Amino acid sequence: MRGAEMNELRLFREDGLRIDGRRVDELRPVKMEVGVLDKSDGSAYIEMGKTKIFAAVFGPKEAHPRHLSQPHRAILNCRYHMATFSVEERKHPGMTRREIELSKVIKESLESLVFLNEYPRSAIDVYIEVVQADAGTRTAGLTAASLALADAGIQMNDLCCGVAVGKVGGRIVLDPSEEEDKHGEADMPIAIAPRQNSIVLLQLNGRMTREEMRLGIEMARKGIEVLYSVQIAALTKRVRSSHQGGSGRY
Amino acid sequence: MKRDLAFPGKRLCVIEEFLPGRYAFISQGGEVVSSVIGYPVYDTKQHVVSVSSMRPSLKPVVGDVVLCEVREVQDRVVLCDIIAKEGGEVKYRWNGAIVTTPRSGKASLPAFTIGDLVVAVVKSESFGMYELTIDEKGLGVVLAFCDYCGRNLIYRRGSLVCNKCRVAFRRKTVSYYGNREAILSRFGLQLS
Repeated sequence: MRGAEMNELRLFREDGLRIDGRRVDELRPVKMEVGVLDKSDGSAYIEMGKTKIFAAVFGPKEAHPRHLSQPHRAILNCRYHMATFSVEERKHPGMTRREIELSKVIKESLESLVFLNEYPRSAIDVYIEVVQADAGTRTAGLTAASLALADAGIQMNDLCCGVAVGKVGGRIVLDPSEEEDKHGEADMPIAIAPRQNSIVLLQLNGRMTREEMRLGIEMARKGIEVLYSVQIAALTKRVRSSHQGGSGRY
Repeated sequence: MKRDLAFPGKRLCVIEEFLPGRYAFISQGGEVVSSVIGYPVYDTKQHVVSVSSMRPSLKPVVGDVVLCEVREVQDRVVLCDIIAKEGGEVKYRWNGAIVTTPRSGKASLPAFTIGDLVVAVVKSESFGMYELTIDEKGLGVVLAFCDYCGRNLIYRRGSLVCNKCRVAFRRKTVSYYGNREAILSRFGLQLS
């Protein structure tokens, strides 16, 4: 309890707002762009607070090596990677255990969205590159990846938005920052397909009561509504700029 | 029946109004939903709604005229890589197969050599494998190589001749055989 009080002292202001001035159910400033990379078939960029992520999609193309291809569906490969300069201390450029795990988790989330059976014997490659990490990278990466897939013209049953919910100083907060994540008691990344209203990713590090979890999911849903509107605005902007002679293949 | 921009997951109508066409599907609630970014097209006669995708397909589709490179020659089948398509982009190589049907009473046309460039039409697609044909007019080999020495064959008096080996080959060729500029411009390719 003493620890929780100390956390509250550090992470909440006297007026009840968080240390960065946000309410408990407020997202960090979000910026999304689509079609930022010329060489890929689809791409997106997302900024959530200080977190900055690029996502690129290649394909559908023939699966290599050929023995991996499936006769009735495409295979989806996902690589989540953090740049060496994305964190305070230089990170080893290779794939860490965490990155391998997150690649798998994101891949499984995306597989539930993409109509893989529309692309037999094909492969779709998704690359998520974190250039600056400040908490919530897996959910922001997933959000950007779904935008990049849509930009590549891949058939999907819905877009996908993700946000983390944390427990800081005994209180449930939306979209925790790096500081809150570090000193918090729990962290629950959630990704939802907004139109289907289905959860495609839910993880929990730490402990939450049933009531806290219900509150967290409810809070995440509200945050995802905001993220979805930003996604739609980014895609609309992309289509309009292409019509006006911008770059891209639209 | 709004023609607003559609996104993956966007509801277009209910199944009682229109059936789903290309790039549309039925959701669990009986709604017709878009699967890509594009503008919905409502066919009021057929009662079908489809979405005109903003992204052109990277894959060849049935009826496309394609340029392919022969990769493997078997008795009845010639396996090739589709490297370009007329009037569009093929960013990645795709597998194709030209099925050579034996002609009754006639000597079958000589097949291809590995490396030959062939203009063909996509006849059908089955699970990611394209069946190609060169039976129609204007289709055939655009650049062929000698079976023995690998040199370019020269078109001379209705047959293809190797200048070094002095051997003539019979192939179905196109009118612009060997004309690199014509091949490149037709398929929008550039010399690298």
